[in-house]
Amino acid sequence: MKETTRRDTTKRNMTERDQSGEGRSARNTAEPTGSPAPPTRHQARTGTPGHTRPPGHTRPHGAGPSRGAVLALARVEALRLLRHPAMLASLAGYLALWGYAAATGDPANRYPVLQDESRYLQIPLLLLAIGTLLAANLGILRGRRHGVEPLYEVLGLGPRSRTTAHLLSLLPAVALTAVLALARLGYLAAKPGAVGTVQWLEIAVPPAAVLLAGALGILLARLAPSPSVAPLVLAGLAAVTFVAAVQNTAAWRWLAIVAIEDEFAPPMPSELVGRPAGWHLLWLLALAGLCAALALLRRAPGDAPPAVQPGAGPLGTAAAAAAALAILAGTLQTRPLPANVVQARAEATEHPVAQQVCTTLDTTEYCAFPEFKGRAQDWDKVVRGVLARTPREIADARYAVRQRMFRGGVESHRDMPLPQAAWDADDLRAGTRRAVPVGTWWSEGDAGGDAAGDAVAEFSTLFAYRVVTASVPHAPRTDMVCGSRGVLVLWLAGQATDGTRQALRDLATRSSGGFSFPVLESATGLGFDSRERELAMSLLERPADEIGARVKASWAELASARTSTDRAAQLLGAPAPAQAPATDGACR
Amino acid sequence: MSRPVHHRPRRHPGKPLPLVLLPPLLRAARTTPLLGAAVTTVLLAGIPAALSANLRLTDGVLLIRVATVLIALGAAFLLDDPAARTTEVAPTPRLLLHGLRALVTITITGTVWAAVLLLGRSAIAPEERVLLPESGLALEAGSLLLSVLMLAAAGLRVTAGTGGGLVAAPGAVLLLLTAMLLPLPDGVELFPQPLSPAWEPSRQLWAGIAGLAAIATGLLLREPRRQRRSPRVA
Repeated sequence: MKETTRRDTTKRNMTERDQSGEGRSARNTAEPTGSPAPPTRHQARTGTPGHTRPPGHTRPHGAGPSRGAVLALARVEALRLLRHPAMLASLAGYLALWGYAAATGDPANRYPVLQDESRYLQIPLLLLAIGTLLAANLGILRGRRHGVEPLYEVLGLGPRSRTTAHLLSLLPAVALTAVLALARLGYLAAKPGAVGTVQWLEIAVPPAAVLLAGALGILLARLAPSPSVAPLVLAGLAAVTFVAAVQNTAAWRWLAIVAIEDEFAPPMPSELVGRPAGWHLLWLLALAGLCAALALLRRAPGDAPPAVQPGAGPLGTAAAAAAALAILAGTLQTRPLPANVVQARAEATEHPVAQQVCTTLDTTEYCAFPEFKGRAQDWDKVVRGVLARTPREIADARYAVRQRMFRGGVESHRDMPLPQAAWDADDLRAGTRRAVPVGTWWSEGDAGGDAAGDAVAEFSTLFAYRVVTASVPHAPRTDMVCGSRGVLVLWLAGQATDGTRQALRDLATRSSGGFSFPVLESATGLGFDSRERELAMSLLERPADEIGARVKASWAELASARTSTDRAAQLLGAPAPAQAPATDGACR
Repeated sequence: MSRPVHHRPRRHPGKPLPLVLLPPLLRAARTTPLLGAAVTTVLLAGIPAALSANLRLTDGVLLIRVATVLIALGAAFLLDDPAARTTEVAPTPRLLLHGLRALVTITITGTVWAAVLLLGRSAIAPEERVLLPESGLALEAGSLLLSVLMLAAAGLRVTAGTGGGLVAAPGAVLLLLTAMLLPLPDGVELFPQPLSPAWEPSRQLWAGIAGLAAIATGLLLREPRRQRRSPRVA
């Protein structure tokens, strides 16, 4: 009965406080009983509320508040947290990022690879973590800012219970982040070009980061009750995150909030990713737990010493356990890539045939890693576009396209040769000789990002080269495609689809002189001189049917290695481009 | 019967009003965040310099930029006036008080930043040291500080003069990080590497930000229209 009465009183106090101020202004919230005189500087420093507490008196922790009162305060604080300007601004920033991309057609995300998108979505959602840290920190400092913290002594909730309520108030923000992460992933997964597998542990990182940020904000408020501390700590964390993003191959980057990969490296099948996402999630959760425990353990001025504070023992144990977990997870996540993943990556790079599935569309066989098999339809559009402008015997021939994974090129800055011997042997066994390589990037070609857009231009050019020369580049060098062949290859590649045309135009704006297409960013590639490029780009501005008819009519001569660029211009009814200095490269 | 003694208020004959106001303004200013930021940044830049770390130019610039952000955040609280509610009725123009605070802020942060720049410069490898674009970095730092002051001035409006930093510090962090995450148009970067093609355009962008922030700060620091129309002093 006594317990019930006390609980009711506590609830009534809370309700009165809520009614008197919550939802109106922070100042009213902090002043539960009208407008008391502000505390003196001494009172504010020592935490003694004038005559409300006799000297030597300690808060009766033994008669702790009811769970209902804590939950009631948590509910109020949760609402205030979600409505805090910092939270609203960060949410608006996140939605603006998404909205901007959607409003511009979101060309970079029309072909998402879900295992990569699962981690790409972590960075923008850090905005919510920032907002949560600031809002939680300012929320717990509200009473102090308004000089009424000593008046909390007369309420039923002690500092630890208030801290508990503030910690619980983070949960809706965590849930909101989870919803946004899932919504983003759902949006991407619903795209017709989406491939890959969702990495659920990666998806759980943003909510965990928000929980950690909020707990850190509360801990900072308890350790250094000044609103200037959280922004400074946040700036430091941002600097660490930025440096970790730059050092994207260093093992220590996993100790940051999010671990970023080399964004120029092409996507991989999900089983080859090998990110310790589970350990990283545990690292974040353990840190959040540690921050929460330390915030609860932190004594307010005038509180009883830890020895007589009930619950200090279990909290200390919890803090120690969280610290141990953090050390364990932190260590395990920074281990090098497991040997089996390294082996599997090497196998997929050099001998992909055993892992791939093949689909035949018309006269072309497309082989891809199982997660990417849906891309065959997209590649086929380019293939059909190229073959449509060739004579019947060329169009009816059999071709093969094989997806390749080769990350060495990006890591070595186009210095590493392709494992061509292994590929040739594999293709021979599989009956797909002279298969045209295609990577794991893809886009529609128009502003799909440099790598994804260039992948479209690269594939269409390589396939056109295969059609014109009946070969694919092998040697670890840039083979120059000169004269009429160069013009024909570039025109066939560009006119295949709207996307390939756009991709070539985009590449032209980013390069001077001729064109260079390194195969999968390796040392092997094709090169085109400026004259061939100029003529081909000018032909792309003219009706494709008209040029296509001329191409079919003069195919043999145009596809000959001995036909010059001037002769090609004559055959195709275009003015010959100005003479340019000869190149040193070997013509193919 | 003795004549009554008339206690006249203390005057500072010949001393300009700003100089009279300066000592109490400095005493009341919230300097702890800036002090903390100054110590942190001097250590941040000083340790590599003392260890002759021979940083690469890009790393040195990153170090100076991080220090710049920290100093600007520390300065966010210098415009706060804990006694704003009582000094509101004083006849001293608000613009003068806040202008003085802003001037002090710029002077102190400028000094700290210059020290950090010197330390950061000496932490860079000698062969790359000459490539450090000091003036460009100074423009960045100045624009950032003016932006923070603008936010602080806006904060003073909504907190009755007491909590400009409460708005400025979190606001600056949020704005900076959002700007770093936002997809800016091609060729536009806020923090490009020195000697990169985006460096010069970014200086123009920072100059524009500085100009806008300075104008906005000046406007926000003026007496609010409501108070100018109906002064509270009867």
